[in-house]
Amino acid sequence: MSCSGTKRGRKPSKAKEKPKAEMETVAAERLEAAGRLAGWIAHQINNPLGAISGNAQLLARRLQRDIGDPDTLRVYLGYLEAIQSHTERCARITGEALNFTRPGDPELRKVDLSEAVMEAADLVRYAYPNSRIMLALDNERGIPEVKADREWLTRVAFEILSNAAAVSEDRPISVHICAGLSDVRVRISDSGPGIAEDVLPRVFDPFFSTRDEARGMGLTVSLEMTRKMGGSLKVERKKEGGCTFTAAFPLWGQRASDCTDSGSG
Amino acid sequence: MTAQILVVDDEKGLTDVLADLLESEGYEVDVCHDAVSAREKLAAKRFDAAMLDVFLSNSPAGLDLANLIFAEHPTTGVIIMTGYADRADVNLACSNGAFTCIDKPFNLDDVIKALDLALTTNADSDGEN
Repeated sequence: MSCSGTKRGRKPSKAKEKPKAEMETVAAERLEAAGRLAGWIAHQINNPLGAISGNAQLLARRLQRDIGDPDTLRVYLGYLEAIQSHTERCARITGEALNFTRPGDPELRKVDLSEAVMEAADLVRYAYPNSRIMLALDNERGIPEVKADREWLTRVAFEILSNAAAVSEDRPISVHICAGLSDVRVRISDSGPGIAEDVLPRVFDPFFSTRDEARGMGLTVSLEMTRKMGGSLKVERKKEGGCTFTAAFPLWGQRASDCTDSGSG
Repeated sequence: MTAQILVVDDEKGLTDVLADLLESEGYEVDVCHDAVSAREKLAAKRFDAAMLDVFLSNSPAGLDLANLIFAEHPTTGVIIMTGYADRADVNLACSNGAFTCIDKPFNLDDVIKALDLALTTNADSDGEN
């Protein structure tokens, strides 16, 4: 098995590569802007939240000291616990916005990519019990380790697979992993309705999604994480419907031969 | 002797809460809402601990204050507070000598525990010196 689109003689022309590179740069710049906005919002929101929460906690302390009737005390403390619980919820939202827009820096180590993908597949199967994820490895020569952040790999695979599962229902999602001379590639193809041509350039944009229930940040952060790990992430429309995401991550060491030499595509 | 605590935060709603909490716990509290007045307080009075918000008027002046305290007031324990800050900056402040960083919104029990730890640790190191 091999990764299609990487065979000799099928390399995309420079004219086609440039818009893709520009697209990734634009997405990265938008993510950075979203990250700055999320940081500013977190700062602006968490300060007054701290005051609300702090006053609620102070009042709870006073009531516990001053109210003798336990039934009355319980009712009053219930109101304060509700305030506290909602402030914590708001703080979690700002925290999630930060996590989504500012992933930080990867801890690059020697990582088994297939293990990370399998772990992500299990998580997606749990979230989407009807999903049919079919995993295939280039077993003949084994899959060498990549230089990556293990948690980030799982997160990237999870985001792509969960997007695929959300649009595929019980139709199969194929995952192929194979190694090249300098990287290991994972290709995730879904059988969903596909992505319209005019929508394709926007799939990595922050807060963009064709699904109402989605936040539109998963693929944006996946692209950023992949780039920070020295890899690449691209998406293609399939002629027969659905789409294919291909993520590539640099090898930990060097490899003697390329899986694309013998593959059938 | 009553421990002297300096609280620096530009969010008045929060400094009111912290002053109320710490005074009810028996501490003596001075409050500042900007870096300039905090520097004046530090120059005029010895504090056992300082609770510093990272961002004061949209600049990370709280971290500059922390560095000033590390250099000129080494017996003052420093606790960093943040609604959001670059974790690298906060980690650097902690490695330079801040006891801990408290994220907003915070649990008041956690504030008391952090302050007790800062005061106890500082008292121990004073004794060693």
